[in-house]
Amino acid sequence: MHMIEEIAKAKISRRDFLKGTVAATAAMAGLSMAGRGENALKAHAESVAPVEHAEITDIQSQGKWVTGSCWHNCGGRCLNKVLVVDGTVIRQKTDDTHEDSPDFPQQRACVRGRSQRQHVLSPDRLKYPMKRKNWNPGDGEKHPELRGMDEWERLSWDEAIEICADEIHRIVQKYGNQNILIPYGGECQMVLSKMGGYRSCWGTNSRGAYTSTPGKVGFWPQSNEGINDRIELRKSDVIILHGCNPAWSSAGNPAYHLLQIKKHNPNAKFISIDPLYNDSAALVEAEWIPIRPSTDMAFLLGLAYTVYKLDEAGEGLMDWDYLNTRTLGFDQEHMPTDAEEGAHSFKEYLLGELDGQPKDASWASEICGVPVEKFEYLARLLSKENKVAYLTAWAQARTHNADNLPQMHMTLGAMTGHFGKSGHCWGVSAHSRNINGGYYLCGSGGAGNPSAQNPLPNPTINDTECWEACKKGVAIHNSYGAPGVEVPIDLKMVYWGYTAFLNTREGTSAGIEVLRSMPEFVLSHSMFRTTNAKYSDIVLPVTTPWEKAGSFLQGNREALIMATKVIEPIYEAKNDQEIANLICAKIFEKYGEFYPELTADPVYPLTEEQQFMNSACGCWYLDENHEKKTLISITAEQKAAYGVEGEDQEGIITFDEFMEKGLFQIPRADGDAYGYIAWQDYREDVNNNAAKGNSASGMMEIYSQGLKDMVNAMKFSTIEAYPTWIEQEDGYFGTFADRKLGGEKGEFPLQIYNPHYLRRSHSDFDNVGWLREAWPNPVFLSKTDADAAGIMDGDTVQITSPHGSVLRNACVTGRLMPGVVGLPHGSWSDMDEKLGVDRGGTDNIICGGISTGAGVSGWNTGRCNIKKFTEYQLPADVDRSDMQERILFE
Amino acid sequence: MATAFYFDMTACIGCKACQMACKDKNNLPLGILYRTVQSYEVGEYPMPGVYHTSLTCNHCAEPACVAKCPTGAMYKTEEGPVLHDDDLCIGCQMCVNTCPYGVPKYLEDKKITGKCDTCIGIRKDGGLPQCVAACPMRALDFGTVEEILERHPDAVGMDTMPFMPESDTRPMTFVSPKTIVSADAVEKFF
Amino acid sequence: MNEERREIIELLLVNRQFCYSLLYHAFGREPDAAFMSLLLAENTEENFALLGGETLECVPAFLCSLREKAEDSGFLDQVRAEYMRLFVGPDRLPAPPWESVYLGEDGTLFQLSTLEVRNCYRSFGLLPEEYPRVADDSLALELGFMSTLASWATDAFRQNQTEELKKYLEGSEEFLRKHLLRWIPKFLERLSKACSEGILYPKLCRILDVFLKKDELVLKEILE
Repeated sequence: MHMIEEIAKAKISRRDFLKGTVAATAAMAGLSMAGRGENALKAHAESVAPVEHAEITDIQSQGKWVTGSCWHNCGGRCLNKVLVVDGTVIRQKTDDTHEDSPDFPQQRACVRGRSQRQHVLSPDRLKYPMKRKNWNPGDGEKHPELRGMDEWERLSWDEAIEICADEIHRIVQKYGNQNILIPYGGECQMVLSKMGGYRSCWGTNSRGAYTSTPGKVGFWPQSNEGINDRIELRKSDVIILHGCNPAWSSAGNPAYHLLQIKKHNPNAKFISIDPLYNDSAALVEAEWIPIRPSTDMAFLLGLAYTVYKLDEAGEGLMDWDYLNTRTLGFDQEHMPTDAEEGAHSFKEYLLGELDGQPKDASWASEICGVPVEKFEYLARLLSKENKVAYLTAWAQARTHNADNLPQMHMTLGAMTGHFGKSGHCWGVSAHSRNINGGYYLCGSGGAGNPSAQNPLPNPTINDTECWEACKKGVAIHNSYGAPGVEVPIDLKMVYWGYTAFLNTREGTSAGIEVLRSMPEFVLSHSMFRTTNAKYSDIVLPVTTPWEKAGSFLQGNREALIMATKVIEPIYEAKNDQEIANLICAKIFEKYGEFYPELTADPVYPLTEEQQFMNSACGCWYLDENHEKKTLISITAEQKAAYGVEGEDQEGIITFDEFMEKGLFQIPRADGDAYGYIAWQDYREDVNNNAAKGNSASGMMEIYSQGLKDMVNAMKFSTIEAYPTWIEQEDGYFGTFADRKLGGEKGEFPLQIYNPHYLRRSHSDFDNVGWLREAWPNPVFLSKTDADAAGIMDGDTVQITSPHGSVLRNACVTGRLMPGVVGLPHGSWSDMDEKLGVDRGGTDNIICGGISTGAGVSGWNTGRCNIKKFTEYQLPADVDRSDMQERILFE
Repeated sequence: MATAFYFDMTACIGCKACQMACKDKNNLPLGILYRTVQSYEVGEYPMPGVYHTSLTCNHCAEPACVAKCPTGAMYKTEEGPVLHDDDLCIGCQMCVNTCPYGVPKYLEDKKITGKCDTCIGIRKDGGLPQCVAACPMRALDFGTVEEILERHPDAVGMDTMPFMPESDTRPMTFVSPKTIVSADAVEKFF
Repeated sequence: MNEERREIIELLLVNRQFCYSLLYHAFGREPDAAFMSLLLAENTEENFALLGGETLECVPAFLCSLREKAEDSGFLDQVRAEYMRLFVGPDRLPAPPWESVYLGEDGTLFQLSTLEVRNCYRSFGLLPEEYPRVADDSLALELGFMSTLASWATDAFRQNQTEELKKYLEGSEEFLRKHLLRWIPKFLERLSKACSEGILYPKLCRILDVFLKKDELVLKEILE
């Protein structure tokens, strides 16, 4: 009772106090909360009885399991279900729709998928349109130098759309469409496609040299399905994993499928050729053959030479029949008709007849680091008599000057005849087809959306060249093999859509430099304050797939996932398409006379629901006769409920059942109708046109005039028509002072590459605390190199390349080849502005924009030095947010 | 009757999906794990070895935590699992300090301890412990000791492993170990 | 109830109505001139002083220094920027102002604690204006809820609706105990650590923390 007593004793005029307080409260109540509805309560008319607290502990029974999209580009696309109670997400589970077995496995989610709710419901989600404080629209001051460091102001959607419309119009009119960059992101591109166009980027992304080369050399389309299916793979006796690590690169079932090979064939020989003794190798107890990154061409040449020589000596390793009848260009007797005058064959190069250097084991060993004696050993394992599955991946083709590498794999595979026979295969095991090759057995239909048509002539810039081109003011337009044409660029605007470009393409340091000086306007659609959003002027919050009507997802060939809406869009987030519609509508309203392509109709006319239903109607599967059949039974009423007109359709699973399960999966078994042996038709009938690759000759071209002419016309760097070793600027030779092997080491004595890492799918998920806790994202150092630099496990290391400098804490390991540094791919940039080092350990601070050949991204060609960092100990990433803020407030 | 977890070390790739599924199901804050994956390195370049462990409560036959709990909050069920009654817990942390395996975790916010309950609620509805249901490598299993030994005849007691501390609590966890498991292995954070 | 006691209770009810309203507006939107002038008005000290103890000690000094700083032309910009950094984004929020981040354990939004808070609102016929797009357990919404109940309690008291009054006060006390008092100290700790140089919000949050504890006592006393 003492408070009342004390007030009773206090010498205040209670009457005055009361009067004053009432007045002050009234004044306070008069303050407007307009535009801040997220912080206001309203009376609600619903007579919903509150859920009793006691019941909340037994929340499961009240919730509904919904399939939440796991949309990230890891290749997995597994089943993720979430328990939703009154708009809140309580927990997750994965596939329990059917009994699990190796042949008919559940589509179990990985460590990332299991933390998806942490990702979608993170307090870090962007909630409102925001504007950088010192950036002003129109003729106002822009202060580009403050990008990434400025304060922010909140905008209403109306204000934001108006500013965006005004700025886009102003920049188009003042500077022209050619100076507006929209690297990727269809919705943003749609806006500018109606206003005269934009500059976009193109790149080789995941596939590296497998993007353009296979189509020219006749290793396509099968290179993308170039390995046998998972059940057929169990019949192989020698399994070579060359830079193939499904355990880290294709989470989900692929590593499990790899294990099945061992379980079915306990005597199978596994070999792992990789800079790291990776977890896939450890899983199958593979023999590890360490190799320097970005030297795979030299290794394969050495191996091809050894195979040839052993065969010549009578060991019978080669499949001459296949080589002579299914390929062209191995020797002068089998040159393609389109070969240029005086053309040399691959064999002449291999044997050293052209340059005096036989590409023998000792030559190769000096470059790639694989011991000389391993070449004969491997060559004999590759004998045509052995059932060999040679599984490579894209990583080694994400290197500089790698254009002939897929051709080299094809060549060695053809020499040893491991194409088209049960138990044999040679190709790419990666992404959604890791340890499971073959065509898709089911799929979804199109959503029915229009796609942006860019009216600007010669509009593209290669990813690797983007920032350097902006600095120089001139780019080479040569997308996907087009002859290079120089085009000027004076960057005035960047519009980021669904891409993490600044973080995930080479030259992040140069990108930041460009963004801090050149454009007048940088606009970003984003879910989070990604690296793109950080250096923007306006950020617009977008919805995740959990907040959209529904979608279909597919990873491996056997399963199709139907994901549906989990929650309403949070805060003020909008669908990217809606943003495009709003901006276009505003531009039409204010400046319609300038843009005849714009009309009063929305550029995206379909609702989310209509798009979802369109995709559902088009879902298909292959029956046992490989006929494409309608998958989902949907009634006309169900279609109408989603705003789609149409009649009843008959499939093998009802719309409701599919939605409830979230999964359609074709059961598999040995001997079923869905087995796949890559190149089988081609081997069996060379005249079967349908089975041919799409080279000029239709054959596998070990000499490919088409490849040489295409690449050399692109104006980055030149190649031969057959596989050759090309020294790379940032490659192993670049670690020596005079680029002389075995000489003195230079300023950047170590090689560095970027393994995929389970904390992230590319850059997605990097802000998830649970994942940061599980996967600390160190830099991997060999014990030899760490000792030499005086670095212990856990020490903070500064890694510096010719392109930038990053910090990471060390994981010193015997699993990494000495001379090689492993920096995990995809972490978000977090610049220490004072010291100019990136605390995030972003791989593309280390990788610079170097454009070679067919514009292949070269993330695994890098060099660096390391030193113990003594300014401060880098906190664990899971604790690092505190540090960001402290520096921000200084 | 006794129940047990089983871990197939030869199939584990250390991906931590089990750890995450457990964290999600139990809604655990940063710093608290009921199931933990650890990675160990043996040997040296160019002949290194790596193996992972995935450990949670061993649901011991003679649990020290139960013996020391002053309130009966920690108790052994007839079926086998050692469970924890949150309402009886006074947060004294006797279990935390007693368990030789460091299993019970003190939950700062709730002022009580917590640990693996074998997802007993989910199991009652016919489901699997979430770690078992999560494992992309199918390296985890749960069942009665008899079922486990029948399904995994080569399994040995987890307490035979060098990374397990000495104790007399009779842990009920089984493992198919890799041959390279060694007392000289070094824990690594990859 | 004697007249004096009744008068003092009214005073306390009106006083907490003011304090909640002030704190609600403080955390509910970026500061503008109108809000700052109300915050810096003389009565603010007196209203907090009425509760005695710690609040009395820190409020006058804080307001005094704030009044000084408010003379600077850039002051409003500065405090607005502080609000953006702490509560809006787009940069990672150092101390996200949602209960579930502290009690939901997994650090995300829209958790069980969110649902519990929503149920409290529902039981008084309230919901967030933007339901279900916003997390119900944000600091601003929770203070808005307390502010609304405080104002209803005053009205009920004046109209001698004893049952209603009891319902509002008990509801307030329960909400304080089960929600605000459980997470605000953690929130304050994180905020203070992350933003020790802040001009406005770290101190306002400290005042909030002390005020909530005082208010629990006030409610208990009135309810007795």
